[in-house]
Amino acid sequence: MDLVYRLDKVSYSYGASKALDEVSFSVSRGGSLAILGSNGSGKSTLLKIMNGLIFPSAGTIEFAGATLDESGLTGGLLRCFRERVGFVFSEPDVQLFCPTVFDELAFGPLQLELSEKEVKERVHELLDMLGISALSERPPYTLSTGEKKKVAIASVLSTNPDVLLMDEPTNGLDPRTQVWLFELLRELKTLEKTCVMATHDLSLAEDLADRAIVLDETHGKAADGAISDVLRDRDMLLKANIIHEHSHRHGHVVHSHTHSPFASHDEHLPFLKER
Amino acid sequence: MPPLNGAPSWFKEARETPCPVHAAGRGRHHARGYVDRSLDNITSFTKRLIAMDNGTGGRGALQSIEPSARLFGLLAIALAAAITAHSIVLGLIILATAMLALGSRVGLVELVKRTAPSAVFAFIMMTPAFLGFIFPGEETLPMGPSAYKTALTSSQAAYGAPSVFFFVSRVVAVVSLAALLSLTTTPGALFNGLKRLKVPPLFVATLFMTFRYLFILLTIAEDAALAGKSRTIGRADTASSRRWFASRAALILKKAMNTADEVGMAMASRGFTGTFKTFTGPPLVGRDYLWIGFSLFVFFISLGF
Repeated sequence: MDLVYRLDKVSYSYGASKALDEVSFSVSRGGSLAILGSNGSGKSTLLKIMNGLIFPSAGTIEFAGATLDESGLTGGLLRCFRERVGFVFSEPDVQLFCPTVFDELAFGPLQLELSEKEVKERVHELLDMLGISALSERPPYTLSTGEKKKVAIASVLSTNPDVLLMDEPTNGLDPRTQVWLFELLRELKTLEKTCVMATHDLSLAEDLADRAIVLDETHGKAADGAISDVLRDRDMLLKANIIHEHSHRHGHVVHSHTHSPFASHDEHLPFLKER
Repeated sequence: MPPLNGAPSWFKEARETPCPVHAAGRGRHHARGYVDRSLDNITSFTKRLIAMDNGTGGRGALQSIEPSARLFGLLAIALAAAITAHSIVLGLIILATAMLALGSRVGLVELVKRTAPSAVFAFIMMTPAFLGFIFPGEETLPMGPSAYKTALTSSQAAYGAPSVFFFVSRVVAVVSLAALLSLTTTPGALFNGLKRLKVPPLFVATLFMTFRYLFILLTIAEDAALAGKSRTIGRADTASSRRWFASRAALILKKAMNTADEVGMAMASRGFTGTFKTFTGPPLVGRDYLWIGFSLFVFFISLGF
C-alpha cells in the first residue's frame, strides 16, 4: 500500500498554548480520511502541517517518503508538493484574493508556470465541470458564501491535486450547496484522489470517509480506525466532546440518547415503533 | 447537562407589562457620533465601488479602451492639466473630460458631485490670494480695526482672482479625470491595467488585496458598531465611547493580522513563492493606440504652453 503521508509523534504549540500533542498516523494513496474533533482540538493546525504551511515543533511528517520540514520543502520538492496537494481553507474569504473568479482559478496553475494557453483552457473546463461558468468574471467578494466555497474548491482543483486537504468543508453552507459538495467529493473519490477532511460534521464523515482519527481536548489522538468503528464508539466520542447527551420527551416517557448536532434521530424509529 | 440547568431566578422571570407604546418618540433624539458617521460613509463608498464592479459601470467610449491604455491616457492628460500654464489648454482639457464623460455614459451630474468637494476645498485654500496686506489699492471690504487695517483691495482681488480661478480649474481638471477613471474602470480592471503598465505585480497585488480586505475589515467594524448600538440605550459619554472605539480598533487590528497570516498561507498553499505570476493580457488594438496618441498629443501641447 502506497503511503502519501506518515506522521510520527507530531506536536505543535502556539507559544505556550499546545495545539497538537504527539499525533501519529498515516494516510494511504486514494484513501479518504476524516479528522474529527471539537472546536480548538487542533484539526486546522494538523491540516496546515500536512500542507507544509507550518512545521511541527516536535516529531516528523513525511509526504511520499520525503520529510516535510522548513529546510527540505524547497525547490523541486516544493513545486511538486504544491502541485499535488491542494488545501481548501475553512474560511473561503482568505482564499479568494484575485480580482475575478477566472483569475482566482488561474492563480495556482500560473504560479506553477503552466503556459497561459493551457491555464485558460483548464480554467474554462473547470468552470464548466463545476457549473460555475456564470461566475467567471465576478469579483469573489461579491459572491454568496456558497458560491465562494465553490470557487475556493475550484481554485484548488485547478492544479489537479492528487491530495485534497479540506478544513470544515461544509462550514456555513446551505443544504443545497452541501449536497453539491457531497456529490463532488464522491466523484473525486472515484478518481482515486486522496481526501483528508477536518470536520465535526459526522454525517459528512460517515458518507465520504473510509477512516477517521479523533483528536480530543488534550490535543492528542483519541482514536484511529475505520469510520464505522469510530462512529460506533459513543463513549469515546462523548469524551472527545464531538457528540453530546440529549434528553427529551415522547409523550410521558423521558428519552435520553446521544447524537451529534446535525445527525438524524434514526434511533428514535425503533423506540417509536415500540410505542 | 441541559443548557439551562441552574439558571438564576432573575433569568426565569417573565416580564408581564408591555412596552409603553405611547412613549414612543418622546425621548431626546441623540445625534449619531463621529465614528458612526465616518464608518457609514467609508462603508457606503466601498459598497458603491463594489456595486460598480458588478457591471453597473456600463459600456461607453472609455470602457471600450483596454484598461492599461485607458489608465495611461487619463494619466497623461491629468499630467498635462497639472503642468500647463495656459488657461485655454486647461479649459480644453475640462471640456474634453466632460465630452469623454458623456461618451462613456457617465452623467455630468455624477462627475460634478465627485469633483465639487475638491473644487470647494481648493477655493477655500486659495482665498488668502484675494486678501491684500501690502499691495496698494482702493479699499473695498474693511476688515479689523482701522489702525491695523486689513482689507480686500480691488487691485489685489483683481490680481489674485485669475490665480485662484486657474488653480481651482486645474484641480477640477485633475480630479474630474480621476473621477472619470474610477467611474469607467472596475477595481479589477484598474489593477490589471497597472500590471500591464509594468508596475511591479507584487505591488499591484498588495494594492488589490488592501482594497479587497479593507472591505471585509470595514464590514467587521460596521457589525461591531451595530452590535454596540443594539445594546446601548441613549448616548454613551465621551470616555465610554473612547474606550469602545479603542477596543474595536484592537479587535479589527487582531482580525487584520490573522487574516493577513491566513491569506499568506492560502497563497503559499497554491504555489506562490514570492513572484506574482499573472496573465500577460490581450494585445492593444487600433482604438487603444489612437487614444494613447491623443493623450500624448494633449501632453505635448501642454508642454508648449
